[in-house]
Amino acid sequence: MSDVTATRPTMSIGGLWAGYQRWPGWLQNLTNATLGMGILLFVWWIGGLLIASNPDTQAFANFAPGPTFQALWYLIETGSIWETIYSSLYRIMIGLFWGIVIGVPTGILVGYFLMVRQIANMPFQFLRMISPLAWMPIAVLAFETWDAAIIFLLVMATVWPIVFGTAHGVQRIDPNWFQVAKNLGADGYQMLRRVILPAIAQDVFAGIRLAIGVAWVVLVPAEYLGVTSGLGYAINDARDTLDYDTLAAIVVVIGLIGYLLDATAVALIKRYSWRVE
Amino acid sequence: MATPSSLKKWTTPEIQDRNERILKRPKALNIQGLDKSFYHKGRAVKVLEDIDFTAYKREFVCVVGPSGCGKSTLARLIAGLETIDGGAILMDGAETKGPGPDRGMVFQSYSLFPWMTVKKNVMFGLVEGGMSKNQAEIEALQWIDLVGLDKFAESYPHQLSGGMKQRVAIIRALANQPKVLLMDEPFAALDPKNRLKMQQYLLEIWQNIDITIFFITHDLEEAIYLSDRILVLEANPGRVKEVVSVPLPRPRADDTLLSEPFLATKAYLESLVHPVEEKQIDMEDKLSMVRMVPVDSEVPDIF
Ligand SMILES: Nc1ncnc2c1ncn2[C@@H]1O[C@H](COP(=O)(O)OP(=O)(O)OP(=O)(O)O)[C@@H](O)[C@H]1O
Ligand SMILES: [Mg+2]
Repeated sequence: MSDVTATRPTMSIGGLWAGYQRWPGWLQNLTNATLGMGILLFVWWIGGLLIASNPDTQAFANFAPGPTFQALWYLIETGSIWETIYSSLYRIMIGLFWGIVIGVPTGILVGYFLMVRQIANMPFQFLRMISPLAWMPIAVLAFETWDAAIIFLLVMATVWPIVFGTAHGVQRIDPNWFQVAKNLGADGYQMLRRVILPAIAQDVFAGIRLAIGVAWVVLVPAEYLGVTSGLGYAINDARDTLDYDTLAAIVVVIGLIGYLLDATAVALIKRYSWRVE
Repeated sequence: MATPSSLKKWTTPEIQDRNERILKRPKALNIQGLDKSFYHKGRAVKVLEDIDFTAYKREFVCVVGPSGCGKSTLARLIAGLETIDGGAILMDGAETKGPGPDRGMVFQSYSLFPWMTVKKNVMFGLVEGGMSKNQAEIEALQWIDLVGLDKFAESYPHQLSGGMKQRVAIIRALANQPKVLLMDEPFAALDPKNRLKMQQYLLEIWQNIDITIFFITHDLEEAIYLSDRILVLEANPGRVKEVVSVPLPRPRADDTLLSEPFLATKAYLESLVHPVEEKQIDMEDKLSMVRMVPVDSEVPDIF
């Protein structure tokens, strides 16, 4: 009796689940990721319907997925989005560049020397907790151009995670590696290039990943002010002209680029990661 | 250096002759009046005092002594990883200054670079020595082949067993063609079976290349099995207590660990490294401390 039920092809939940578990890992992952995006789109779509059906909010109906993707397509077709993206990415890259140039050496010092760590710890933790946007008034006073002010804010956002990530990496270095490297003939420069940097690379990139996250979040509100280019400016501009479909399209672009930046950082972490023995 | 009476009867004319010939070889490593202190809370602690010792070319020397007597410090001084307070260390008659490729070192903790493959680890010193990448790769692969790890050339350290890692650490040091190989308890972390295998490996390598080995261990059997002579240190401060010539023929017989001369040597070393009275007092102390630990268990009485 039970044999019969077992051999009969079923469409039960249990059967589906067992089938799912037999899929390869990447397929499970892809399916679940698609499902997640599907849920997001669905919620968005429902939200759009609710907004459209309410007389008070009807004016904002263009926030719905349909108009948004039309607007996005228009932005891509006319090419106007590329310059906007370019301006924002340029600021992020310059901010990140200075964050790395300042943050990695500082992190190495903090991680390597106990005294530097003891001196720097309190002030750095204190400064780290200040929202980068809080520096805005000071940045505007200190820098001649809005662009420079924004880049300053981005440096303030990126430098801390990079400093702390690097310092963490340096502290994890096994002192025996120095001894071995010295014994095998490495001098100071070779020690840095062939031992210290590869040893800390994964932690530095982990710091950079956090830095990119913070910087990307800070960038948009920073671009609300003063400048006349970039994604933040484009959002503000769309709001002023009541272009709600364009506004939503730019939000989509911000999310997408943020995701790609993060994925790049994750790939770098993977590339440079090593496992403890 | 007189042979102690308990070992004299095992020192056959052939063994005696071999030991004497060793002492007539050129000096590979010559330590003269070596002093070393560390500063701890503003106070100098003398770790090594007036160490005199010579290792001759292609000799296998083991160093034993109580924990903390300065064995590792001695190896690190020879390697140039630590500064000398007094005395001198000579290699082939020339005083050493800082680390040099003539003194390779292998640590107990393997200390392979985890972000490099086995091949890259072995290439590290070759490239540092100025060899071209291609040439270094060829030589590294030969070494890897020699210790039977050719299938693992592109593996990372975390994919290897302890014995395999230690083989990589050894050939990484040997690839630079040092004159003296310093080994600080290299096999201490291995299980007994692997340790024996590694000891045999090491003897095999030692017999086939021109190298003097300075091997630190706390395992007296290991010291006797491997070495021509054993440098016994005493602690606080670390001084040379005695240098013992091992009365065993080479190559070692398979049953050498059970042979009478082996056991006699072990008993003799035992008496040098752990004097009897001291050991009993130590044990009594430790036991009384254990008794003071309250037993808080569901089964309070195991008898
Ligand atoms: N860098 C250092 N600074 C201060 N003291 C040190 C340092 N290195 C070693 N010592 C001290 O020197 C003494 C000898 O240490 P060493 O590691 O050479 O002993 P060892 O004979 O190798 O011991 P073990 O058998 O436990 O490995 C110890 O008392 C140790 O505390
Ligand atoms: Mg030691």
